[in-house]
Formats: sequence, C-alpha cells, structure tokens
Amino acid sequence: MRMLIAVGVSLLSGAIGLCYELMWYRVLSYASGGTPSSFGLLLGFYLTGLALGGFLVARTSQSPTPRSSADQLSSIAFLTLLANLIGYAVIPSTAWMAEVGAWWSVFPVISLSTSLLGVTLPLVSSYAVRADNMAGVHLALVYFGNIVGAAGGSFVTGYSLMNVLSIDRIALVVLWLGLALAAGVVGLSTIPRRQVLLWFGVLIGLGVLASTVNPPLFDRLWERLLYKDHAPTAGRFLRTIETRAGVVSVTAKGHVFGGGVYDGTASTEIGQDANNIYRAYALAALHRAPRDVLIIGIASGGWSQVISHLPGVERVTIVEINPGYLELIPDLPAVASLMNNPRVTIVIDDGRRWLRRNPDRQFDLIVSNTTFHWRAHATNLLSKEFLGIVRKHLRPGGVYFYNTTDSPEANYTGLVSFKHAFRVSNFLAVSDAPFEPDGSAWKEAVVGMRIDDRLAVPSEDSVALARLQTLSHLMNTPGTDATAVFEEEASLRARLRHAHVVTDDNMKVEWQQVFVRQWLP
Amino acid sequence: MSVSALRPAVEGSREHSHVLVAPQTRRVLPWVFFVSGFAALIYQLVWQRTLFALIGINIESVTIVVTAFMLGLGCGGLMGGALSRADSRVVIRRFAMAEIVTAVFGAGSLRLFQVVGNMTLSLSDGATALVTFLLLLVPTVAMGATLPLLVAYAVRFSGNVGWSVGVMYAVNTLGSSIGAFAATLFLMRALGQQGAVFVAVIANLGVALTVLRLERVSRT
Repeated sequence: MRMLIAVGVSLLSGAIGLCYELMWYRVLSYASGGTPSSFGLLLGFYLTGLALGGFLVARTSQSPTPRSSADQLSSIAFLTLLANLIGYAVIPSTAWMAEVGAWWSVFPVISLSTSLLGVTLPLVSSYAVRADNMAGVHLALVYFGNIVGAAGGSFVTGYSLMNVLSIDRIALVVLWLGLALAAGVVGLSTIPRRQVLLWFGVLIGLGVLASTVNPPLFDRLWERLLYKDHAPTAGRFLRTIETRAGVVSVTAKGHVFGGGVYDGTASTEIGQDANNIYRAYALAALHRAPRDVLIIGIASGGWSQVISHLPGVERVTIVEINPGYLELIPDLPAVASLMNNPRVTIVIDDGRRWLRRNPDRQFDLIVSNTTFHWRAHATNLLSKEFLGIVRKHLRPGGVYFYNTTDSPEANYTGLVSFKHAFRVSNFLAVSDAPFEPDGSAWKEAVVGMRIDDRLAVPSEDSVALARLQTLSHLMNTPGTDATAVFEEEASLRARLRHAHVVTDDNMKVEWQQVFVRQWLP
Repeated sequence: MSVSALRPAVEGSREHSHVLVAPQTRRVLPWVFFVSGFAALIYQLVWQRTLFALIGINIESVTIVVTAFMLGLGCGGLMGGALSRADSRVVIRRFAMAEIVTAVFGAGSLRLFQVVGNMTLSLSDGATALVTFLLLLVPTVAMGATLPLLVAYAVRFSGNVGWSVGVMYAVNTLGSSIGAFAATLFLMRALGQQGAVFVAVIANLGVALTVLRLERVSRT
C-alpha cells in the first residue's frame, strides 16, 4: 500500500511540476522575447529548487527521532499545498514584476516553488522505501512514477490544454489538481478525522478563492508582459490567440506580436508604410519573373499579400509554423483575401523541415521574413546549413530574400553561401545570378500592381508616389554603409569581412545576450 | 500510524549499515554525482536543439523530444533499480559503466542524430516519435539508471533512505541546474553544440574513472 501511495503521489507531483514548467516557460519566453537563455535559466532555477528540496529532506532525515507515517504524509500534503500556491502565483507575479521593469526577478520564486515540489520524491521514498537490499528497486518504481507523471503532464499541458484553454484557465486547473493531490494525501493518512475535515475545508476554501481571484490576477497578462513598465498606459490588445504553438496578439494600433515579439502589421500601403512594406515590393526589382514563390512565415500576412500580387507570380506556397495566424488573418481587412486567393497554398509546418521533406520543389523566389536573429532557434533559418538547403530549392537565377534583422553574422553568412548579394534595409537578397536592380523599371512595375482589384499605389496618392520616387532613386544609387536603404555586394563584402559565419553548431546569432528589450513599433 | 510502524525500516537500515565504505568514497560520491548531473543537462539542452533542427520546432516535435527523453530516463530508472540488487561493488561498477555508455554515445551523438535525421525525414509523426525514442534510449536509460544505483549504494552505507535519496537526488539535481546555467550563459556561446557536448563527455569519463578508482582503492 505504501508503495502504491508513493508511486501515485510521485506521479501526480511529477505531472504538476511539468504543467507548471510549461506554463512558466510560455510566460517567461513571452516576457523575454523568446531568447534562448529564457529556457536554460528557467531550467536552472527550476532544478536549483528541486535540489534545495532534496537537501531539506536529507537534513531532516538525520533527526534521531523517526517520524510517523501520518506525520510524513501530513508534511507531504502541506508542502504540496504550499508549492502549488506559490507555483500558481508565479505567473501573476511575473506580470507585476514586469510592470516595475524587473520581470526576471521572478526566477527565485520559481526556485522556491520547486524546492517544495522537490521534497516530494525524497519524502515519499523515505515513507515507502525500506533501507534493505530492495531499496534501489523500490526507489526506481517511485522515480519511474515521477518521470511518467512528468512526461504525461508535459504531453497533456503542451499538446492538449494549451490548445483549448487560455493560460489563466490552465493555471487554475493545475492549482485545483495540486489541491486535490494534497487532499488525497491527507485522506490516505491516519491523522485524526477532525484534522482531515479541517484540511478538506481549507483546501476547498482555497479552491473557491482561487476561482474568484483568478480573473483579476490574470487581467491584461500578455499586455503587461509585453509593455512592461509602459503597461499602465498601454491599451488592451484587440485580440489574443493562444494555441499550443504560441501566443499571437494584435495591439490597438494593429501591430501583430508573436510570442511577445513584433511580427508585422497587416498593411500593404507603401505611402504611410507602417511596416516598411516597400521591402516586399522591392522583390519586383530583384527577380524579373518570379512565377513560383515560397514564403516561410506568414505572420500578419502583409508580405504574403504583396508577394502574391507581384508581376508574374503564378503560384505561392506559404509555410507557417503557428496556426494561430490563420485564425487572425481573415479578420484583418488588408490581407483577408489571402485566405481565398487560388494562387496561394498555406501549409502548417516547420519551414526548414518542410524544405527537407520536399526536395523536388523548386522556386524562383524564396522569402523568409521570420523573426529577430537573437531569438531561440533563429539559427535554424540563418545558418550556412540552412542556406545550403534553400539553395537546392532555387531554380537557375532564383533568389532567396531573407530578414537578417541587421545581424552582421546573418548578412555575412549569406555572402559566403551565394555568389551574389544585394541588401534592402534589413533584408538580404542572395542568388547565384547577379543582381541588376533598375529603380525606374521597378517604380513602373509597382505603379502597375493591383491588389484585390485595386491599384497597390493609387494614382491620387501623392505621398505613396513621392515615396516610390525616392526609393527608386535610392535603388539606383546604393549606399555603402549600414544605414543605407540599399547596398551592393562589394560594399557589403568589404564592410562585413570580419564577421563570423553562422553555423548550426556555433549558433552565432543566438546566446549573445541573456535578455533583450523587445522592439515596440 | 504509530511510531512503531517505522521500526522495520529503521531495523532494516541497521541490518545493512554494516557495508564498509571508505570515508573517502562517502565524501567523493556526492561530488561525482553532482558532475554526472552537470553533464546530463548539457546533453539535454544540446540534443534538444539538434533534434529540433532535424525534426522541426513545431509543438509536435517538441512534445516528441521531451516525452522521449523522459520515458528513456524512466526506463533507465527501472533498469537501474533492477541492477541495484547486486553486491555493492558491482553496483558502483555498474554506475561507472552507465557513465561510460553515456560518454561514448555523447561523443558520437550529434553526428548520429544527423545521419538518422536525414534517413527518417519522410516519416509520419508517430514513426518520428518512435525513432526519436529509440535514438535517445541508450543515453537516457544510462542516465536514468544512475540515481537508483547510487541511492541503493548509499542506503547500504548510510542505512537511511531519506538521507540517501535526499542527498543523491539533491546533488545530482544541483549539478543539473549548474549544467543548465553553464550551458546557457557560457558553453553554447563560447563552444557551440559540439564543444558543449565535448565538455559533458569529459565530465562523464571523469566520473567513471573516479568511481572505478575509488572502488579499486576500497578493495585493497
């Protein structure tokens, strides 16, 4: 019976621990803008807490007076309760701390919660495992239960709960599960009946209280995590979509954020150009007849909308990793038609994997307007190995146009991977064929473009026409420094000759900064 | 339950506390387990990255890698439990063997992942999950086996389950947390994936050699 209780408690405790870890990771990743360090630091503080819990048990186990099993179970129930209350408070605390500009100070709170969760395994082992020759076998069973629970908790939370519930609801469900575990442990103990009833009363009361305070505690959670110390004056998001793939938000100004990072604005207007969409239009100067186009990452849809209407484009394949964006696009008037465009096919997949799984697909143009180079896994789309994969998918004369987000390493890697290059703001166009952009011809091409049966640049829009004229001139007279809108290959090669090549192994664009301050438009 | 209910465990502890272990071994054992945990987290962080690059970073792939890792550790825990019933010296040698297996696998792991990843590109999610589980099975089983093996060993000289599990679990987990910090703040940036794995391989081999040496000294 003791073993059964120990394995059961260990299993549920492991499941609860991993549920919290996944929720915390989502929130901390959002607050940090998805730096690779956020996961490593979370893991580090999480494990530090577990270790502290282990030391605590080791220390109390040396007491000369052995503790009764009722005492042991009461301790487990109490520590489970405490761990869950603190664990539940981590997310609202992160939001509060973000508002005072120090969201990262929540890490020690995580350690505190996991130190209490961490006592469960050694404590239930101490309760159920005898110090005999079978100690290793019995411990293994308790440990196995813990690991199976952890795997199950991770699977259920990451795969299912996060797809159907928002994070505030999941936090409440996990807290209830923790309270139920504490109640179960108390119920199985041999403490006096009155104490058991008192326990149940407290646990039920806490469950009801949590349900009541949950909505205000999680109010404007994502806004507070994004805007941080500016949150008090920032408005509410127009929309937030939470799926297992991540969190997509739209601000009152129409800016789209994915996982806490600016992901674009659903606009195709070159006149006001809130999203520097001229870079997408510039493709008309970089490839004369791009019939077949691949786009990696749809985000807010502005780029895809422009590219699918470029002169000569017949077929557009878009690979997007987060299905949340597809829920969003139909509600954004400037790009909604993208979903019904017969030339456009949208695939939900990892861009790199899709390319490797479809070796026969060839394109005239591949565009990747993904994310900031410092984000976790950005290497997968910026490394020399990835550019090698892309190259195999380009037809002769094909062009790869990708967002380097001004990383010298990402630019330099493009230069060494292809024969020719041309920079457009923070985008780099690379190809094995030379670039001969003609500003005047480009201007004519853009003026003639139609999006949804309307001119992309209305003839009466003097602002747009003037901007187009300026850009056309700049394209014909490229600059030679990092601030130039357009820059030719020779200048790039001279300027970036000391940069490093990004490889899958060295991940040069990531890990350079522990935290970054997200860019807000 | 009364205090007397705990008596068998205490008596049991006395029964087995006669196992003689050199004081040096008692002192060093937590440290080697600390280093073992340090290496394990470096592997976890690097292998996750490598596998995500191969099979994708969508949530399905992330779930597959995390679940495969945990199930491997769990199976290793069961195996370690089964192997821990042997004589103390055999148990400690088995622990060293688990470290060597991890090191050997670690040394060739990134290349192996690349080869297998390329061969299994067109598989369905289910088949990918199975291949990933099998790929990670050897090192995760070896890593998972270390806790029951070392706890079983420690229980025999301490006679105290709470202390043994608490200390061994704590030092191993503390090593893991330091491994996570080291990988995040230094190793990944300075050494890249292969360099970080190399540090973990050296750590595993160091643990194995230290333990085998201690076992040899205690025999003489």
